[in-house]
Amino acid sequence: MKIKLIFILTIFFTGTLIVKAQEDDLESLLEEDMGPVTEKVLGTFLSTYVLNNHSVELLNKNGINFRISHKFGFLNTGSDNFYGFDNSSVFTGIEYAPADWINVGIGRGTFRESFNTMVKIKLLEQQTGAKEIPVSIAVYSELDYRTKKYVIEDLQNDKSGRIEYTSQLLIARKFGKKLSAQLMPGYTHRNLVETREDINGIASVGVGASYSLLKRLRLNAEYYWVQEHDTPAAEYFSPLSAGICYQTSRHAFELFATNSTGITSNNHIAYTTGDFFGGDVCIGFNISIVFSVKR
Amino acid sequence: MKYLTIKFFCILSLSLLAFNSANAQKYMTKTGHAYFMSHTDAIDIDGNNYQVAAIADTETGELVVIVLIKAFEFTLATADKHFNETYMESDEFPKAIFKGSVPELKAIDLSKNGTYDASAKGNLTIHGESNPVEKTGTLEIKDGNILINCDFNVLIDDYKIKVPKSVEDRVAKEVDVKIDLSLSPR
Repeated sequence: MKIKLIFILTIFFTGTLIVKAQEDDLESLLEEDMGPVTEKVLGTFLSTYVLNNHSVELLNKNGINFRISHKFGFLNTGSDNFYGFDNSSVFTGIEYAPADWINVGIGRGTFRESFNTMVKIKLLEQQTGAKEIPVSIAVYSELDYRTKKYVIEDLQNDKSGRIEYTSQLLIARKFGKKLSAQLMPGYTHRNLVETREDINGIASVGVGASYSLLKRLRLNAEYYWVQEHDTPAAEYFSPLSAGICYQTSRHAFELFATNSTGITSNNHIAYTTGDFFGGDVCIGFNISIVFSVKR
Repeated sequence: MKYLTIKFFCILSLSLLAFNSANAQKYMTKTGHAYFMSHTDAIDIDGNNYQVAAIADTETGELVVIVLIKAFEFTLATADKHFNETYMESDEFPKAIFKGSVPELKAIDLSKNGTYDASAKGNLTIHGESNPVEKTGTLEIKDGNILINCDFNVLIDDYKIKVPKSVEDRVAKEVDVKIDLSLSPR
């Protein structure tokens, strides 16, 4: 009987001691109380752009992004054109974030002479830990209004015919610390097309990727599958771009090679006439200046 | 036999009592507040964090504070990206920890309301770097809760937080930090 009691007592005290020993480490006790932590995944892409197209990243509230995009002509146009450097396609735009989840912007591009408005809305943000969300999702929508004069005088007043728009779903995931990928299914609609053979609506699926070389230097690439919309008058290709992205505290730069001379999503999805592997490659760069309106 | 059983239960209840009182000596919070300000002539950058966790043991005077770096909220739009990715590298170093002791926690009467000067001594780990620190602040007992208030400066060089040359004039070398905790019995 006595032995049994001693036995029970021993077990009891050992138990208490173990509990005590665990409690002694305040840090682990606190961590236990905090429970599993949920963490946002940051820096899926360095800037709000992959190269041509928008990335899933948004400016934070009150942020402003002033952006100049420039593309030269095709390198294979010969020495009389200084290998394309005589030509240029320029887009100047400004984006603003009224809230963390929404960015709006306006811009003007020389390619097909159009004004551009855009809106990007964040739907989901990738998270790890207790509440895991595997991907970040944003919707992007833009509308181009062409101001170029029509050859046919009768069309001059057809305002709605000047409108083209693209909507995309941007689904991105950061894999580990260095690699990110983005899938971009989208639909482009042109209210008025050039010929009878042209189709108005074009479906597309883009993929973008980013790989970290240094903390603020990344290798980015972008490719689109675009629904066949060739006509007897024009042949279109899938836009392919590859280049580097570099970021300083207030600027983002992208320098890349691409077969697309259009700059907005409408233009690079629907009007890429360069054959990348046939040598129709041009050099493009974007300069973004990011600042905050508050202070 | 009967005597032994009684003795056993006496010991049992005493131990349970001891165990319970050991529990009551711990105070904690998960919603403490941390604030920092980097002041330069060019720009003020500040951030608030409302998810500071802390635990205090009034028997030993020990205090542990954990600050989740990614939980800082900024007024300046572009600050949070650079803060997390460039300076704090929060993917690699997700939290800052203070581990130390506040001797006053042992000495004061927790059942009476009152305000006291207090000092904390221990190790502060930020950005994966640990440094011994000694800070003073105030300690207030209010209705059984312990309120801790502390202002101090952090030299970012001490914690190997590198600032690129191009923005040297925009990030303070010495950052002001305020910690505000309201610990209740665990």
